[in-house]
Amino acid sequence: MNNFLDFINKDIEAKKTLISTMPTKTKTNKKKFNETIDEIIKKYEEYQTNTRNYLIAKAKSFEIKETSDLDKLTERLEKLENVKFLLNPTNTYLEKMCFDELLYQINNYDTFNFKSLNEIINGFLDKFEQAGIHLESDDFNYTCYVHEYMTAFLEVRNRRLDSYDKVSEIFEQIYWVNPELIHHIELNFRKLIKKNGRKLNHYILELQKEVMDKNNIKDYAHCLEKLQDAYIDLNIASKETISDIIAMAKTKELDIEQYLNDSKGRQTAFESLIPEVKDVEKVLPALEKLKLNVIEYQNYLEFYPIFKHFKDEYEKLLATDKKEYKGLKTIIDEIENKENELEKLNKKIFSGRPGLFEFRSDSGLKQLKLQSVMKANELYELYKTYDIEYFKDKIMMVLTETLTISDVLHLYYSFDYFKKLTIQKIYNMTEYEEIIKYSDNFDLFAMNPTNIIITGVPIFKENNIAKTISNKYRLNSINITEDDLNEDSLKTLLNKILLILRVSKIEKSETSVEKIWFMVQVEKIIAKEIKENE
Amino acid sequence: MKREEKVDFDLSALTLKELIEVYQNITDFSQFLVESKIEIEEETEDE
Repeated sequence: MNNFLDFINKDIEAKKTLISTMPTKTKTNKKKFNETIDEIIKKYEEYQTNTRNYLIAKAKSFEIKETSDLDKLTERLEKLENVKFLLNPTNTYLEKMCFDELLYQINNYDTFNFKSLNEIINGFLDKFEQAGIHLESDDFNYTCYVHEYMTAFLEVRNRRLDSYDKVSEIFEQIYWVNPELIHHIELNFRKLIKKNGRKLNHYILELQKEVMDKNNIKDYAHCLEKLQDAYIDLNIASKETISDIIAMAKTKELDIEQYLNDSKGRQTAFESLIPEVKDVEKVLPALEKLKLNVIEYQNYLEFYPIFKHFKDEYEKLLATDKKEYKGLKTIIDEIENKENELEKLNKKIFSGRPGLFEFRSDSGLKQLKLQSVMKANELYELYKTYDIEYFKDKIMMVLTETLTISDVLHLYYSFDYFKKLTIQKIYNMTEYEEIIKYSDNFDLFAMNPTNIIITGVPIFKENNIAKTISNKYRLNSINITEDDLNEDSLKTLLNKILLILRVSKIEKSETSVEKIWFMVQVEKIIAKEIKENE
Repeated sequence: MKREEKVDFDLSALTLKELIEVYQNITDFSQFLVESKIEIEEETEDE
C-alpha cells in the first residue's frame, strides 16, 4: 500500500472495530484492553511525528523570501516631509516650532488629566532654548503667582535636580488662591512667543536654509515635486509581495480559504466585479487604480465630518469682504490693551510700591493680586476668541468658492492646534491618545501627494464622488455601482478587488493558493502544539 | 502490528489537502484512543 491516507482511514476503522469488540468486563479484560490501546497509541504517535515533520519540512520549502530595501526610501521621504513642514508657506514660526502642539496640551491639561505639567513646561523652555532664547524667572511675570511658580520651576531645571517636589508644593499653595494658575502660565508662554517672534522667526529662516542646502531643494514647489517622486518610488517598492500575502494569510489578516479555487468568496468576487472579462490580465491595471481610489475615498469618508464642519462653519465667510474684516486685528488690540493694564498692576505688585491711596496694608496688596488674577482670567477668555479669529484669518487668506477638499486637508495639517481641537469637538473625544491617533491618520491622508480624487472636489459644492468613481470604472469593464461605494459596503468592495489582484499575483508567481493554504494549516498545527506545551 | 511496521508509506504521493487530512485523522484518532482507556480500580476483584 502506498497511499498513506487510504491506509490510515482503513486502519482507523479496523482498530475501532477491534477495540469495540474486546471484552472489558473483568480486571484482566480491562488490563488487556488498555495494553492494546497503548500499543496502538504508540504506533499512532510515531505516525503523527513522522507526518508532522514531513508537513513542516514541506511548508518550509514553500517559503518565499523577498528582500526589499525600503529603509533608504522611507528615510528619504521622511527628510523631505520635514523640509516640507519647515517650508510650508501656510503657517508661521509658531506652528513650525510645534509651539501649537504644546499650547494644545497645556490648554487641555485639565481635560486629559495629563500626568505631568512639568513635561509640557519643559517642552516650551526647550523650544525657546533651541532658538537660543534662555528664559529667566523675570520673563514669567504674567501674574505674581506665575512668577513665584516659574521661579521655583527654573531653579530645579537650571540646577538639573531630579525632583520637582518643591515645585509641586508651591503649586499646591498657589492653587488655593489662584486655581487658574496653569491657564496663566499658558498665557505667559503665548506672550513670550509673541514677544520673541523676530528671534524665533529668524531661527526658522536659518533652519530652512540649512535643510534646503542639505537636501538640494530650491523652494517649496521644488520640495513638493521631490516629495511626489519619493512617494511614488516608495509606493512601487512597498507594493504587496507574495511574502506579504503569505504573512497576512498566516496572521489571518486575510482568509486564505476564500482564495481557494472552489471557494464561494472567490467566485463571487470575480463574477460580481468582472463578470464579462475573459482575460483578467487586461483589467488588472484598472483594478490597481480602483484599489487606490477606494482607499482614498475610504479616507475621505472617515474624515467627512471634519469637511462638513468646515463647510458649515466657514462657507458664510465667502460673502465677507476680506479687506474690510478686522476680526483678528480687533482682538489683538483688545488683548494688547488688557495686557498693558495687567502689566501696570503687576509692576505695583512686584515693586512693592503701591500708589498713594491704593494700599498701605497686606489687604491692599491682596486686593491688587486679586485684580491681576481677574484680569488674567479675562485675558484667557479673550485668547479663546483670538484662537478662533486666528484660524479664521488663515482660512480667509485662501478662501474661494473653488476651495477643494485637498486645500482643507492642507489647512488643518498646517494648523495642528485647530486640527486637534476640531477632532476633539466633532468626534466628542475625551482621550488624548485617541485624538493623537486620529490626528496622525489625518496627517497621513493630508500629506499623501498621490491623492487624486480629493484634489478636484470643491468643498462648497454638492458632489457625488461615488458616482464619479463608478462611472469611470464601468468604462473599464469593472462592474461597480454607487451602492458598492456606500460606507457599509466599501470594505467588501475593497476585499473583492484585493482578492482578484492577489489571486492574479499568486498565479503568476512560483507559489499557488493551495501552497499558501497548506502553509497556513501547518502554522496552525505548530501554534496548537506550542499552546498545548505551555 | 509487526507486519504494519514494514509498510513503506509514500507521503509525497498525497496532495496538500490530503496531507493535512491524514495528519488531522491521526491526531483525532490518537485523542480518541487516549479518551477510550479504561480506569482500573486497584481493589476491583477479578470475577
